[in-house]
Amino acid sequence: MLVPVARAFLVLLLAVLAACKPVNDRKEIKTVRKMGKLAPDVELGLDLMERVSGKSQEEANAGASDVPFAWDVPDGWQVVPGSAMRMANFSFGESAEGQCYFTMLRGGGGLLLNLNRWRGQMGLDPVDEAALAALPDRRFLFGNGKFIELEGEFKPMGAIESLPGYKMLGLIMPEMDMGDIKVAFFVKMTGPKALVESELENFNAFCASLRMKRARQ
Amino acid sequence: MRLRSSNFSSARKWLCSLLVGFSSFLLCGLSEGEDSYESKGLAKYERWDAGIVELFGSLPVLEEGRLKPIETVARYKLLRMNNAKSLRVKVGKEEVKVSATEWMLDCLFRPKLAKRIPVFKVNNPDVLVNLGLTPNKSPRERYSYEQFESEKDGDGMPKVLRRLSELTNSYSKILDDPEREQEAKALRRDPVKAGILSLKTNMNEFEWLVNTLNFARDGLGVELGEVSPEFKKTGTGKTKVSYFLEVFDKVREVARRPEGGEAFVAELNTVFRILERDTMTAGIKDNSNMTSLAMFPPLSRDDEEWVKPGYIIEQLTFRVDELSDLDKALFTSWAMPKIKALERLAGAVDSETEEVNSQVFLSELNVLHTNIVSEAEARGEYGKVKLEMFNNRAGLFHWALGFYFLAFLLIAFTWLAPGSAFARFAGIGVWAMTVVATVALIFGIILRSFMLGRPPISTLYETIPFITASAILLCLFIEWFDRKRIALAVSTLLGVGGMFLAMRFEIKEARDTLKVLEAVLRSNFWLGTHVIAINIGYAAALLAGAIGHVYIFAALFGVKNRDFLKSVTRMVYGVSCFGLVFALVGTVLGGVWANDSWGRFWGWDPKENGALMICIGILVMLHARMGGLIKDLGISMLAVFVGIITVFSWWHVNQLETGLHSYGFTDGIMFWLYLVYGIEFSVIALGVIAFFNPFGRRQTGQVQS
Amino acid sequence: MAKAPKPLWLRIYNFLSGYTLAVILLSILLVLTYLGTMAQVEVGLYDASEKYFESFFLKDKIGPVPIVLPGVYLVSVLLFLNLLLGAIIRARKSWKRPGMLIAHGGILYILFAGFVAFHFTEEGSMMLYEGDRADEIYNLTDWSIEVARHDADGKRKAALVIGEEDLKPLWEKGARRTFFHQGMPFEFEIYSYSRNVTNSKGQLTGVPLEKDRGKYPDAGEFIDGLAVVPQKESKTREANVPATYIKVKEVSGKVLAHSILVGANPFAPRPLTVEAGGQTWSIDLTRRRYSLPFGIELIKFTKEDHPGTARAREYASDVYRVDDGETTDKYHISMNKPMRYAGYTLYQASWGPPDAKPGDRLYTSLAVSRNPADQWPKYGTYVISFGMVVHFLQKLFAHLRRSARSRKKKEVAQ
Repeated sequence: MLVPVARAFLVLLLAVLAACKPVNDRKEIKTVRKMGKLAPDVELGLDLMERVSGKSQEEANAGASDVPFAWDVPDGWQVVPGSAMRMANFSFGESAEGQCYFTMLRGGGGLLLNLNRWRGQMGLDPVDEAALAALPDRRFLFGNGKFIELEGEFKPMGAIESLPGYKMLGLIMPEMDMGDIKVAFFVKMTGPKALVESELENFNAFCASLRMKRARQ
Repeated sequence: MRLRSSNFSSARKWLCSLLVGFSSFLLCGLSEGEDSYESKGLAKYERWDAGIVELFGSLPVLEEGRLKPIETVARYKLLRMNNAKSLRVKVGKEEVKVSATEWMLDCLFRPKLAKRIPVFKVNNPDVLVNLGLTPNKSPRERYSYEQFESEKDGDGMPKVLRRLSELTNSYSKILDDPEREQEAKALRRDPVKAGILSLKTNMNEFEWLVNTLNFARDGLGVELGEVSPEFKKTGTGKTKVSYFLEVFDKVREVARRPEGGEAFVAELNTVFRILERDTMTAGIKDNSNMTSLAMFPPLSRDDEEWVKPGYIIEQLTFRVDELSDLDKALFTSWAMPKIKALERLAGAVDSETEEVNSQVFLSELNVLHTNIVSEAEARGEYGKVKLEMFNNRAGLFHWALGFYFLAFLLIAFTWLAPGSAFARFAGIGVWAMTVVATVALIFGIILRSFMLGRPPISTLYETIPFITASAILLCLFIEWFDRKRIALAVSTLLGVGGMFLAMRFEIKEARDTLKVLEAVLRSNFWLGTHVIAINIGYAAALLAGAIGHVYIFAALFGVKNRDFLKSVTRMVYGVSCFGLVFALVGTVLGGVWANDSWGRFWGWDPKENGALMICIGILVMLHARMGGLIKDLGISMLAVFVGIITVFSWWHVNQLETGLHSYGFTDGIMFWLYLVYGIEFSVIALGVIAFFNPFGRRQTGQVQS
Repeated sequence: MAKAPKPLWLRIYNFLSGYTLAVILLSILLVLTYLGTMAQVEVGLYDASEKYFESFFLKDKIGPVPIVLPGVYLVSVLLFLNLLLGAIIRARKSWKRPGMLIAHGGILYILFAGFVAFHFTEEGSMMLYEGDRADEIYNLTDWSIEVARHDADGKRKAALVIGEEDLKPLWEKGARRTFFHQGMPFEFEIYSYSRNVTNSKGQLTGVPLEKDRGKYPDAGEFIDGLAVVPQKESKTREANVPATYIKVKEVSGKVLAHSILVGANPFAPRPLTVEAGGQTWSIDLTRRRYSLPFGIELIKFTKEDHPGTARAREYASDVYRVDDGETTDKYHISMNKPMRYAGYTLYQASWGPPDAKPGDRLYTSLAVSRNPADQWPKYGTYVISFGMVVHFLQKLFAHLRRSARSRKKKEVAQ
């Protein structure tokens, strides 16, 4: 009983003395922890930025679960960590060459603009309003969206070389008024033509499964 | 022993005027809690048939995790908006009392009328000024939805409602931003802004309620038969939702046809938009918004979650492809009669004039009621609903309040003529009334316990009746041995105070007081004993403080009756010891429970600290007495101080918005808390004055220390 | 009262064992409990506890006047002494009052249990998805620096641990401390330690990029494009993530690394790697970890809500104990029903992720503690209750006897 008390007094005394000036001392490490058999391995050899941004990547993922939507992941699709833009992000195919994501665009930007941007990515020429209106309607989220099917040479954003024989599927919902801002939602799938066609059902199932999450308390 | 000291007469007068003042204050409070005010009123109000009200009120619904009669839901909805569980509406020159169930029937089946009924209470007129409305003359006057909706702006939108949304949106941004904590705090304390927020909440709830049965009342708003010859024409211009559900496969097939489908698809878009909205308001499953009515027992008896009508529509339209053919057939045969029953019920009210065909309505309601109740009974769930109906009607706590009040008045009268035959006779009456009130109170507590299937003290509200009952039983026990009517008088006062507090708290919170518990609070031996012991400890500590007042005032007015003073001191001391045992054991048991639940015996949580402070307070008193530092007056003063600590622990720590025990944040009671502190510290100050004895009538050895 | 003046030691003994000291100590305890409770609103539970409840002395202010108060720790120690001397040693030990003796003994026992628990408890959490295994726990509030040598496979056998107690002095501005160990071929200096570098949303706002230097005028040095800027500490201490500068030197004085450590995510530790003396070492700023002598594998986590609500009614974990990589006994851990093994207790504390929708994969969160005084307070309660019951029953009987006597007297008088 008394020994710890005395020690505590000593520590206190030292602390009081030390409180006058910030410490600048040397200290021997005394505690050793034996690792258990199941202790997790750590990643070695990372540089500072990797160590820190790895952390913020986690944060970003945690943030992604804040999205107000829910969905079902089709069989065979791999979940890829989302980003601020992509609320749901998947890859599929043997070497993950196909990808599909669901996103919300703040500010909308207009249906035609988006369509032509996508057409550009597939190496296709822009079209006009009439062509847009002719696209088939599909039930999507809160209303009807336009279903888009494009084939051509896919050139992802920022890429230099195009990928021939690709197909893009899209379901896009025109701008919605959400209070102060306008937003557009869409699901976009790209990949080699045959692969995308074989995943058509999964695409439809995924789109149909998109729904609002229950309101958070 | 009765008090015959001549010195006592002045004290008696003082006490009487004090008590009469207190009782009139209480009466004022009571009348405010109930419902008497003027309102704009209606030209005509056709009452619902009594049989309809009875049947409808006893329909079970699942809300907040508990099956309860719709009557309870209606009462609390009304309490939130109207500040009372029933309405008084001016109809022409008469005033009609409308029960919560009747009002709910209006909202569901006569929405146009419901929007004209003044139901929103707005305490702060500045709330209305901020919204661009002129406040009513009397603050008691309620506002109808129409008053908020009628004025339109340039776009044809309701101007006031739009302003309300804009304001509350801007407030929510502050409240949701963790960086703006200080601003948010200030906002919550601002009476006008807080008033606007609560008005918006009430508005939303009201809108949701009147739209709940839209699908049954208005159908699809479109005539399918007009667009395509494949479908039946009703001639009313409105295709029923039930018909739409039945022909849904065909609807899809027609829509897919390449030729001539276009007009149909366009029409279908409108249909879906309306259907989606109505499905939402009727409540789907994932929608945790509790304002929809989960009124149908689920298909499977193993399933506990009751079903909202919107869920049925959603399953049979938007999610129909998720069901296998067999499941769909099963679900349809189970669900369709329910949708149809609601449609038939709504059909008994004329959609234009809102006139009710009572006979048809009653017979349809009867069918629906029988179906639901028989299933609920088969599931073994209806017993508790019936119990709750009884509890709602019996109003046991109100009876208890009334009897305590009468008992208190009667005993106050006996002080005017102590020792007389009248006093002796009245004493029996006081005993009888107190006992009746206490029986009602305890019966009420037991009833609640049965309805919830758990010990009856797990929420802040529930501690009020329990602590009141404990303190009064303790009083009656003391009185049984002491027979000086000191404890009896204190008990009536505690009864009035406690029951009044319970009532005001319920109005303030305006939420169903019968609550299901989080997993961690669910029954466990240690938790049960801890909570009971702690609350008995609170009760005893408060009681000791209350009796302490008697001594302090007696000392202040120079009462010389030694026997009386000794008796009071003995009570204070004894009750404090009793309180110490329970508070201490209760506190430690709480630690034992916490240790069993999450490995932490003591965590310096505010509520734990509060209980600890009570124990320490009483320990200070006992040790100071034994060490000869204080005598009789000191004991009473410290008892009052421990009473203050108890109030702090019981109510104040819940205001701190921190800690694990934060089960009942209650805003707006800080004022009352500080008032209580102020009064009680003044009483202690009076004790100091009594010690220095300004009246010069102290007897030696009486109150010195 | 003796006329002759008492010797000093007796007067001291009398004071130490007396009621007056008890009243003074209890009153101080009352005030401290009140202050500590109110302080939680401002600074949060942990900081308030440290300041008022775990300290010997504390500085506070009454208005503008600074005062020094004894902390609850000191008061408890004195109270223990006072109780021991007054209620146990000095008290009259007659059969008239065995109850109070027993009850005070019980309180002594609980105070002692609190002392043991405070000094010797290891606490932490373990989060597992179904199928996961773990044999270490980490503390949610305390941080540490772990230094470990890795073999060729990247495995660690043990870690050198710098606990929160050695990091605390570094919280102060300008503090720096060099840590060394004989088995470590280098030493390292920690300086500009910052207790929190996240904002209220959990973002790492306190580790800015060099290109944003303009926005952070008070940022310290930038190393490899990053710096450490202290952020406002959260009231919930669990939410704080620390960061610090570190300079690793060989004994010869050669700088091996000059970098920043940021509080590690328990699920994905990414330590600083140092090559020294032909060995690979890792240095990590991590929540304080403890190894368990056994492992846990989560078989199944079940959560049940109240119907129609998101309010949990019951949740529970079924686990295997894992000894030497082999699953052994099976346990069911639920609310209020912990698993006890080898001095450790595992409680069902919570689950996650917090915003999971129905049907999502959930993890269980088990709180684990090793407290040598675990069950002592319960036994103490039995002792106190027994003592009090004995005491008050004696009192009651005495009272009844007295009143019976006085009634008799009255009868005689008549």
